[in-house]
Amino acid sequence: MSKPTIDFADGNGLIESREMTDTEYAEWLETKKKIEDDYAIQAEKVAARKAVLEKLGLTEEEMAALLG
Amino acid sequence: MPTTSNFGWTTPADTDLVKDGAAAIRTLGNGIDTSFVDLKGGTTGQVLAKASNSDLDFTWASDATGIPATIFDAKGDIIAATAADTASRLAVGSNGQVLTADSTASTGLKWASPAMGSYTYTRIGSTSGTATSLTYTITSGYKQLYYAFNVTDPGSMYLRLNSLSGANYQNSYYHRLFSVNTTTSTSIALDGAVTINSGGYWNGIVQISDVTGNKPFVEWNCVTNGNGAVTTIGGIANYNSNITLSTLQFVWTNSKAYELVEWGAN
Repeated sequence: MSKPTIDFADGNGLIESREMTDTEYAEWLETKKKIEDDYAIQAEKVAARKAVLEKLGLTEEEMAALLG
Repeated sequence: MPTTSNFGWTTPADTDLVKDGAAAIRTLGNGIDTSFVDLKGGTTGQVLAKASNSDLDFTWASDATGIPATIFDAKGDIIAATAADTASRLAVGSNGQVLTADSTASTGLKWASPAMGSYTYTRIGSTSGTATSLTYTITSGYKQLYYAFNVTDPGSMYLRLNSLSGANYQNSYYHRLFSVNTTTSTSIALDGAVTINSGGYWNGIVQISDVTGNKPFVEWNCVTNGNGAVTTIGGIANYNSNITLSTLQFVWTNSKAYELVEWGAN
C-alpha cells in the first residue's frame, strides 16, 4: 500500500511531490489522530450546544444576543 | 566697633567700659534677631526656601520639589502634570497599552492600545498541487506575511510553523487550524489582483506578524459564504521565544487538491 503524498514548495511553486517516508508517515498518523480527536471533541460541543438551544427554544442569533 | 566675620553683627570692643556691656550685647542680639527674622512663622510641612540671593533671606514655602508617596494609590501609577507646578496621579493602563499624548486628557497623557500599522502587501508567490501534507518554505525578507489557501473539500487540518509542536506556543489552540467546518465558499479575492478558487473549495487565511522579530504572532481564520469575508477566527498564537519562521506546514487527514498564495510586507 502506498503512503500519502507530501509536497514541498516555496514562492516559486512546487519543488517536490513524493510519497512520505516511514518517519513522516508515522508523524502524519499521529497528527491525523489528533485532528480526528479534535474533530470528535468539537462535534460533541456542537451537538451539546444544539441540544441546549433546542431545549431553550432559541436560535444561535437569539442566544448570541442574550449573551451580549 | 568690631563685628562678626560672617554677618557683621556688632560686638563689644575689648576696650569698652563695663557699663556699656548691656547696650553692646543688646546691639548684638538685635542684629541677630533682625538677620533671622525670616525664620519666624511658617507652618507644619513647610520648608525654608531662599527668597533672594541675599544672605539669610528665606521664606517659608510648600515643599514643591518633594512629591509625597501618598499620591500613589496602586501599582503602576505614574505622576504627570495637569498644569504648571501641579502634579497628578495617572493610573496604569491595561496590558499591552502604551502611553500616548492626548491633549484632551487632564494630564495630557493617556494609556491606549497601539495604533495598527499600515502595510502594503506584495504578492510573493504561489503553489498548488494534490497531497496529504504541504510544507511551504516561507519567503525571507518580509516582516509580515499573509497566506490564502484553498482545499477541495471541508474538513480538518493542522497548521504548524517551523515544524514546532504545541510546547512552543502560548495558546492551547496552538496548531489546530480548523477542526470542524462544513462550509464551502466560492471565491476569495485579495489586493484586487488575484482571485483564487472557485465553487466547492474551502478557503482560509493565515496571517503572521513580526516574522523575524519578537515572538511571532500567528492568526488563522476561515473564510466563508463566498464573499471573502472572514467569519470565523480559527485561533491565535504567540511563540514562546524569538525565532525566525522558516516553514509553514499544512497537514490534512486525506489527500486534497490545494492552492496557496503568499503575500509579504515590511
